[in-house]
Amino acid sequence: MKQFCTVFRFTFIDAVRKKAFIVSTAILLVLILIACMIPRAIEWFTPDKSGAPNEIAQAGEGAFFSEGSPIYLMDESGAIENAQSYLEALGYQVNSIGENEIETAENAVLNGEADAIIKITSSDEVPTAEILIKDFMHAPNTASIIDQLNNAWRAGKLSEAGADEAILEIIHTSVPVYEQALGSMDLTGYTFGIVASMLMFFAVYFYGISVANSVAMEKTSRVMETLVVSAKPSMILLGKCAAMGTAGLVQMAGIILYGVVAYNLLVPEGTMIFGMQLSFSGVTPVNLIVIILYFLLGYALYALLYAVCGATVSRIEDISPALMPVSMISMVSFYIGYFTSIMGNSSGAIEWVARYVPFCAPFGMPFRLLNGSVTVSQCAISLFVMLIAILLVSGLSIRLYKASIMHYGNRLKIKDLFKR
Amino acid sequence: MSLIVNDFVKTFGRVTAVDHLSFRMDEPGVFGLIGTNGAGKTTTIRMMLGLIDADQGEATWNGRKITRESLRFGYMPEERGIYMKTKVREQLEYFGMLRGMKKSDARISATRLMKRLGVEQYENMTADKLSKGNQQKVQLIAAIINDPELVILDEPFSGLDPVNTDVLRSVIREMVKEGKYVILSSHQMSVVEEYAENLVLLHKGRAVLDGSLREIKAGYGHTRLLISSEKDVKTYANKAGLVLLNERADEMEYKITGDSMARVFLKSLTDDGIFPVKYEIREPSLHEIFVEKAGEE
Repeated sequence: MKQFCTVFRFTFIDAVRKKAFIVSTAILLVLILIACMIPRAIEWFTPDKSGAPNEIAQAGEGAFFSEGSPIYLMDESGAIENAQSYLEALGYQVNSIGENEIETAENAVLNGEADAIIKITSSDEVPTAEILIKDFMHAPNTASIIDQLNNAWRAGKLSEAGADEAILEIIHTSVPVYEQALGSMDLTGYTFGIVASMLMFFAVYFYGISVANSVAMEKTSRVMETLVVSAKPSMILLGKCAAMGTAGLVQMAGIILYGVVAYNLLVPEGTMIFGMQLSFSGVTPVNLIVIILYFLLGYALYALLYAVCGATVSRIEDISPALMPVSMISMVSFYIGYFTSIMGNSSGAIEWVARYVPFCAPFGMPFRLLNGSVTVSQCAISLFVMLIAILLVSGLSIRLYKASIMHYGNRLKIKDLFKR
Repeated sequence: MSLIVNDFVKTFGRVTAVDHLSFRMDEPGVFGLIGTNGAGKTTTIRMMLGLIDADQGEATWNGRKITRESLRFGYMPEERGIYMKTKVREQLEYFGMLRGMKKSDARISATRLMKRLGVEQYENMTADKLSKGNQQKVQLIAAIINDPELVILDEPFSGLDPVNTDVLRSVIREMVKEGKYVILSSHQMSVVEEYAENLVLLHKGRAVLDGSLREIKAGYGHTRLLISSEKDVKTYANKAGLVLLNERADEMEYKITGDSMARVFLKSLTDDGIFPVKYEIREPSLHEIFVEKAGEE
């Protein structure tokens, strides 16, 4: 245990003193500061400061969609009589055009100067509408446009048939429908969940690779020979992994704490992002602790494997191919965890894998925790399985590490590691 | 106390790196582990210290298998390795603490040894700023910081300038005086010859010679004759059956079969009124013994 503590302390101090650690921390702190300053800067430079900060938010609300941008309407036959006014009711600026202007209108859509062209052609009974858009990424709300065109056509037809205003009013009245989520997932939780999954991946990946590099550096610089006569390889491996993980945790915790302070001090109250008010309801202390647990366990699992990869190389330039197997596992696991999270409602084998397979759980579970889509028992089972996996991987990694660290020459193959 | 290496065997694929090697060290002093590059010296050391597993055989200290726990040993590997980006004192204390020393003891020991080896002014510098010789001294301090009973030095003099070589020589002498067991592994025979009372000579993984250096040399008898004379003595040497080994500017070295051959040769010279300036009969050097043995193999 004394050797573990000695390795831990030495490695931790060495890790936090490294330029890469200091520079990456500084960059992240500056980025957070800038991100938190942006809403305040917008507030400062907004001419009308009489309104509450909410006004800034409101200005941004809905800006994601291009309501108010021009839409061209071509209905030379006049098949839908009030189409223009109905579409304008949606907030669009509707310009009527003729057949000879269609090319200009198409260019405007392609250049992003207009949202769409709606071409209405007449037929015997029911007119046909065609909506021309730039691409799926630059489309107006076609569902509401279709609704309005239908309303306009029906209203026209009913008027012709002699329907009175009361009937038309009924047609135009929609049944109020309210959607209420029973779960705790909201858009902020969803976004935080995705961010948490990504952060988890980057943290596990980069700190894991740091362990591999550190081990490879010790081996290739021949410090390893002095080290292993001084301490047990298992203590070196575990102490090093624990120290690098703690350094990572300290860095992440420091950055998050700094982010919270900067958010509270700099971001105006009620600020919205893309029309969405930030809500931290999913970030409870319990969730935070469990997410930290997932980070520690996920990191431990990958760091042990990365350390073995680092120990198999004799030259530092061989490190990339040596890391490939574990990097592949981490990538695939991340995508499984990530996509089953963001797609939601996934079920069956893939969801089970994302929850319980130890390599995937650290990337999939934080999202589920933040959005309340996992039960306590599922979480407990997932953590328990991870613990068991770490114990097994530790035993295996120590064996492989011991076999690798004193081997120089050709890079060890997996089968050679097990022969020893 | 005794160190016993018993029947070590180690193969790497089809290559036998160490082939049934046995030796023992019963008294403090310097033991020479000599051989050419690739003879199996480093593999033997690594097996002794448990860094790699032997296919067969074991190394014991006082009857117990050598482990980090059973013996306080120090090892300076042939391939030097210290943390280049870490301050000298920090890493020395680290290595001391890894070997079970308290931080305060490691600090005291590091200070003492840095002073002894003349590197105390570099204690707060990172190792990459030191010369190769000073890095080697730091490596030596790392090896002996915990005051080990058994010290294994693998090619300790390689890369050292004459001044640092003398410093290291004096450190080795001090360790011997302190009653330590020192194993000196080297392919430089003259280095081992200077210190080692006992040795094992490895060639292709096998011990081709082992035992007391004095006895080994005595066993060979007087086989070399160095002669320096103002007159040419080659004809006399040929007549007496001497084999010329080296001809230098001021002297010649002959191989002789023994003292009687040397006596006959000297008598033939003096009978003709030739009196050599130098006439030295000696045992073969370790280098010569090694070359002969390796050649036989």
